[in-house]
Amino acid sequence: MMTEDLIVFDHVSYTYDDEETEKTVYALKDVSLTVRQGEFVVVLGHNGSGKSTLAKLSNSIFLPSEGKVFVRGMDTSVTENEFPIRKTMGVVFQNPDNQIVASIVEEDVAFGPENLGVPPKEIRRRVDEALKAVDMYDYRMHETHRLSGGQKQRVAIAGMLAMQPECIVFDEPTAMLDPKGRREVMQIIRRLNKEQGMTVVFITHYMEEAVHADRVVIVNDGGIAADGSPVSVFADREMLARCGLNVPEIAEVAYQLRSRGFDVPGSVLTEEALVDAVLRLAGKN
Amino acid sequence: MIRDITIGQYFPGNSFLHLLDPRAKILITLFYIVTLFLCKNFFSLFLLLAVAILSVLISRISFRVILKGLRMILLIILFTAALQIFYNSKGTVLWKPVPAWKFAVTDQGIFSAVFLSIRIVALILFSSLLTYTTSPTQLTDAIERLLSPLKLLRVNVHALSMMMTIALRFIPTLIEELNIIISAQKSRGADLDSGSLLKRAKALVPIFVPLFVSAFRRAYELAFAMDCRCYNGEKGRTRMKIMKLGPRDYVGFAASAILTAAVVVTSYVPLSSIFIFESVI
Amino acid sequence: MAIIETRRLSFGYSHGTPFEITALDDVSFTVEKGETVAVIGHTGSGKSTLMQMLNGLLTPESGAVLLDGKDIRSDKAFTRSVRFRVGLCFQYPEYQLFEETCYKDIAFGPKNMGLGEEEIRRRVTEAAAIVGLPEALLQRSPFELSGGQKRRCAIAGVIAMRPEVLILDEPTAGLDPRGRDDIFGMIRSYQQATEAAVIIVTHSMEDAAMLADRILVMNRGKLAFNGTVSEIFRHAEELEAIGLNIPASTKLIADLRRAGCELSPDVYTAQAAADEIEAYLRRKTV
Repeated sequence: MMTEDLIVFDHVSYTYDDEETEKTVYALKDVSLTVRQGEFVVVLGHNGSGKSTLAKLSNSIFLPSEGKVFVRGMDTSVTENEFPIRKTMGVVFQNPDNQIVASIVEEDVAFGPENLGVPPKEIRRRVDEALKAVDMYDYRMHETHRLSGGQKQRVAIAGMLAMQPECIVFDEPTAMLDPKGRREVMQIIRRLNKEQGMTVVFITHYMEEAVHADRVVIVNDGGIAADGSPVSVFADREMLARCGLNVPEIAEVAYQLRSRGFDVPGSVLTEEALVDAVLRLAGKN
Repeated sequence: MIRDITIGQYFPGNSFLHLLDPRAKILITLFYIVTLFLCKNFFSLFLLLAVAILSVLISRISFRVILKGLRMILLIILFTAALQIFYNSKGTVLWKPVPAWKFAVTDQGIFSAVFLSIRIVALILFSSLLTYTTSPTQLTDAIERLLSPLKLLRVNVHALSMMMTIALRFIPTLIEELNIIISAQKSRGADLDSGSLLKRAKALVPIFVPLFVSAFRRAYELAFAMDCRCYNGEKGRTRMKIMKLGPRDYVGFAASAILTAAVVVTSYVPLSSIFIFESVI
Repeated sequence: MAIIETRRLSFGYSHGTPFEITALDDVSFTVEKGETVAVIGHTGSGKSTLMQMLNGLLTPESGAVLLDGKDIRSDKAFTRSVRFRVGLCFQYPEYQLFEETCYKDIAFGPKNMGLGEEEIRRRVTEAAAIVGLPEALLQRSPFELSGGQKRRCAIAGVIAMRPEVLILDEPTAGLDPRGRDDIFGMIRSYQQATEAAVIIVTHSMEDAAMLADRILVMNRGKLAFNGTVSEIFRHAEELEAIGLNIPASTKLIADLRRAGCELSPDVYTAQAAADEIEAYLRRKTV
């Protein structure tokens, strides 16, 4: 079951009409992509590359102009599938303020399951569990507008967890956060993937956040420029430059050392790995 | 500063008042307000004020917060009091500064100024406890339940209550945003505090255009987020917190009824008849 | 002489409510003409309060701000002129655009200064050129622009006042690497054209290292560090302890030093880290 296809983009295009020029613009063009159960997929691209459109297509908020999107085999363009799909695919957006509906933390987390018609006792259980999963249980009675950005975003994640989805799409959830908030949110998301087996699609432009992914997808000009393991994607420096992206800083140091003749393997992307490699070269291990 | 506003805020807690059914709280508050207007003499007024203060004690909300809330309406109190003193010319004249003027300070004027001020203080004290001890969602849910008979008239009560929930949620966010926009435009030399009325009205454009643009953007994004959380109106929706009237609420209702009865008796039944009643016993 | 100086600034919010905060506590520093200073600290460290004090939007509870040696509160006319001489660009400034055209929006500041039509035109054109906003866009509504262009237009609105001190609060928030480099380019070209002092508020040590001559680190309303970039980076561990993100290269070198490698600690770019490690490995393997 682990490799079952959860989301399938089948030759998907998404267009909109530019009011100024009255031309049809492609936000996404002929994109095919498959996300399997349990995967941690990071989607990278600069602003305006079309990466955020992917998120809204994945749970039938947007419908493809051409091609089809399937979630667990359900076609997103079929109206009856709308709610089953949105129950399966949670989405967390960029601006934490604009996705919180209620003024009190636990009441906001309860909003999703309430909409699904879950019995009250079960909602209570799910809300408590979801808040514990994002380390916000102690804040359950707090006012949402007084929380920090990172805390608000964790409440938004809990709101999704309480609906018990199989996959959560994160649409640049860290873009508006400070470093502390970003760390908190990243830690929670990685834990959800590792410990609860939650399938994660993570859209961002922070390269560092991609290092721990199972798979990296690079979106550029509405198309997919690369799709593979972090090691293979970050090795293609020309492609990254073309897409307006940087190599993660540690990968850059490793690359520089490699190009100066030191034996640093191409698989080095994290700080721990590079420390080990340098110590080995220095004869310290 | 706008950020210091405490009226309408919720302070989580576990006091008797916090645990009352929100519907009961709304009804009791309405009852209290009506009683406040029925009250005619100082004895019953002080009784009502005492009940308000007692309720604050029960709610365990700090007096500093309560006083801050009262400070906001100090101007209104002073204004009404002044009006009473200046315009109530009945009763014995105590002071007449310029003999040719009609204006005079009378004992009744002062009496009604004091009476009204206390009445407003009691009103604010008691009614702000409703929001201090009830979360906005519970409050709007309760209003939805209380107004549910209107459904027979095809009023979409659920939509109304959802709108209230969202409004209450976004008011602090928009106030914060308003503060930032004001500061930013002031940084570019916007002058909001001087000039003719027309000039001042014009000066609001740089403040309100960005605020509205932002409010619409937020509304647009929130609508997406609510879709993602399967919001589909009232149909099939359940609630985490079930509202059920319990012994506590009946105690509340009883206390409320006794208070009203006491006020009505002391205000409208002549004192002599009470004494007669006592002498019979 | 310092263009701007603060003397023992203190300030608090929401006195008398359960949400009381001490935002600033005894903060003193100076900024020279032509200097670029980065103010770093996490959310709630007091940096935003500090910025609003520098152009007189907020009045300190105690202490003073001096512009060109004169207390900005000394007289009313001077206080008003400080608004224009110390230009403050808020976070996400594109959310403050309001005019019908970009031209009018950029002209808002200069107009409030009481400048003549001709001078306003000069300044708007000049500011638009500095931020790289094409002339053709000036007559368009700012709400039709792309996100990046909106930000440029909003920054131009502050630059057009030609401030002697330009303060930007998180000017790169939400931007991708390309957008960030563009903004930094603008700041540099404004500085070259005017010799203004620039104060940039940021969460990012990388940004600070890239742009600033000097870094002020704020923590819980206090000025925790004040020094040149390399001086500050020598305190990498303390910075991490107060919750700041140090650049990956700096952290790498710090960890290698902890493992016993003799490396210089003030490294904050990938290039410098590679140079430092290379030199070390060459010494080791000779």
